[in-house]
Amino acid sequence: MMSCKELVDLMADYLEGQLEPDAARDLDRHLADCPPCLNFLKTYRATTRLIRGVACEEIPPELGERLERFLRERLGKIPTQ
Amino acid sequence: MARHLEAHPGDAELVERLKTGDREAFGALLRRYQGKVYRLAMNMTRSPQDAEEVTQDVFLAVYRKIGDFDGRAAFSTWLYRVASNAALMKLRGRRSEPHLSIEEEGPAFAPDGHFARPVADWSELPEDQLLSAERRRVLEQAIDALPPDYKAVVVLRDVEGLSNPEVAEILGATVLAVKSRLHRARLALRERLAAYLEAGRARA
Repeated sequence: MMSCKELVDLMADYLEGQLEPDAARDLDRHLADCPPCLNFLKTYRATTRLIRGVACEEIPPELGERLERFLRERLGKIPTQ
Repeated sequence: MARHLEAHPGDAELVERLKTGDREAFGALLRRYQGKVYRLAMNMTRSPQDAEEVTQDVFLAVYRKIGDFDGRAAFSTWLYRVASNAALMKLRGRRSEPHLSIEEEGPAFAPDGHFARPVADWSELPEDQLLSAERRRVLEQAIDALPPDYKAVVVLRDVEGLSNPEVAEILGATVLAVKSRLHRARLALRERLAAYLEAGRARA
């Protein structure tokens, strides 16, 4: 029988469907019988969702303008071939 | 159709034109990718100033080093590599940041392999409760405290949604190393969130 520690080690591969069928079956059997592991799996998955939730999606509206000005100043000195 | 294609040339065509010194092609790549590069840099450095400097450095490098791009990988992969390296340099240049000792973070196990402590399920909480301003800060601080190599993997995989092989290619690491860093980082972040949420429940 797989231990909780072994299950946690395999969790990422399991969630991505990358485990060998035998290992995935062992893991399913353990999960069906082990509420702490099921809770751990759910909160591990929630963590990856939350990581995406705190990501910055905003781009300053003037970024493009400032960037083009900066590059024009710098690249003006570089001869184009 | 032909006109449409001409109006939106693919990356490969723009890269070829840039290699001959075509500034318009450079401008098109700049407009196409500046947001992506800025967001990646921002999520890695969490500093608008650093993110903008990284974006500047990246596009200078694109212009100057496009000759080094051999076309074996997609242009976007090469660009991600240049951007990740620039952001990592910023992170490594910060002196005083304490990093999580990643080996020590994560769940504790009893000698028989069972969890040493009870594991609560807080995943069912509604998203706005899960990510209240305070909890958001806890998670952001925990991400900030990840060692740079781990943070890069988390941002590329869990934020940008790239695959393990793509991240490995971008970071010049093995797929195995990427998977291991990602898993350890997620365990560390889950532990921080769990400690915070469970302490909140105990207070309630």
